[in-house]
Amino acid sequence: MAEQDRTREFTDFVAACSPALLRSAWLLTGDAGRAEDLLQTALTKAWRHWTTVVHADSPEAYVRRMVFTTYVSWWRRRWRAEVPRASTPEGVDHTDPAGVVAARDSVRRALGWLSRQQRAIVVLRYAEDRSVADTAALLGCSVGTVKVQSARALSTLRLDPDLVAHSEEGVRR
Amino acid sequence: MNEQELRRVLVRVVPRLPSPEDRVSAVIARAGRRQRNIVTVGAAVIVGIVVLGGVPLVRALAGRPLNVPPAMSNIPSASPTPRADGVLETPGCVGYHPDMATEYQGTPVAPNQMELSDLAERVQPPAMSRFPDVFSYVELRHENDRLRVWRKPSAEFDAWIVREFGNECLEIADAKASEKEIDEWSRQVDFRYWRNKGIDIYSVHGDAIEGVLVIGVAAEDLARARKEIPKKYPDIPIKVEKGVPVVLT
Repeated sequence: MAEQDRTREFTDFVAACSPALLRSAWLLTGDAGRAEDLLQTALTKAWRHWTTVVHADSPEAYVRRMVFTTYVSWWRRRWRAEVPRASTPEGVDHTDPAGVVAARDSVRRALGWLSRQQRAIVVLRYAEDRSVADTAALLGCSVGTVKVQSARALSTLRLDPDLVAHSEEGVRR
Repeated sequence: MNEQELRRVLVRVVPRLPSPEDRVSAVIARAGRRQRNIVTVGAAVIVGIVVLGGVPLVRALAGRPLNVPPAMSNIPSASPTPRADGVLETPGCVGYHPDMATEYQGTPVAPNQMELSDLAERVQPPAMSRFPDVFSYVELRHENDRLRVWRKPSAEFDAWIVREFGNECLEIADAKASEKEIDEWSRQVDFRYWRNKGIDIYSVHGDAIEGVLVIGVAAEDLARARKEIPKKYPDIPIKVEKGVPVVLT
């Protein structure tokens, strides 16, 4: 594949898949900077093995798996600090409806109580609405592990009164 | 809170996230840096093999037993075994053959990552507290379904790993900086000071293998930051690169 074609193909892929992958990365990491870093780390691996990725049955699934496995195994790149910009770039939502910011803080805090594996399972099972079997296949573990860890994660999350309140509030709307 | 309610709240709270226009070029630049690092490490390993009279290479060529079950090799020796690439292995790696990779939508998945994550959680805290001057970090390597412990070269640390985790399969590799050093370096970087000087620092993280503190700054500040930041901290090995804007939501 010519270098130019490879780059164009990769650019199209990044444009198409990044928004969804970035949302999952945000739920895994809890902030925009780390989410971007996680996504770029996975995309870097994808770029290095692009010929393999692009010929996979589903390149998007391939890179999604890279995002989650990178997150689960992520001891290496530890962020020391995040610095808000003086002026925010375009694309940031300034129109958060009332209550969403508070709910976001609750989710971030509650997910922080979970282990990396549990958090990955919660994001796949609930935020991405994947089946137990799909989640197990994606994380390379057994169906039983996903069931046990999902149950434990849910029990932990239910201990957070703010999260419970926000989730019930969402239903009432 | 049932599963549906949790799903709803998770979907609802994700903010609109900034999407840098130059994401593709940032990714390709990262891949290039990684490639250069691999070449450098590879060259160092070849030099090491030549200097050491090819002993590890001879061991590797002689081959280690391929079908010895782990149970037959569970007596840890005093020191880990060097491989041809310079990485050390604990005795638990002898005869360690991970299960066949599972598959997800046509792509291979390392089979034991949950177990390896658990092992990493057992290794990291005592390594950090007992050997703060040499321990760097633990890495889960999907390519060979193993854990690798990065540390500054230390026979004492290696002997401890073999003593405590000899029955597990762990790789041990050289880093140039410990986690503690990176922590100390990063604490010295004062973001407010640099902002007042007109340089926006987006991120600071340590590269333990290379032994440098990597500072990400705004593209427009890059040239000036490369001159001024290392000058301000002469005792810290620093690499300044173009960073990604971080927006706290």
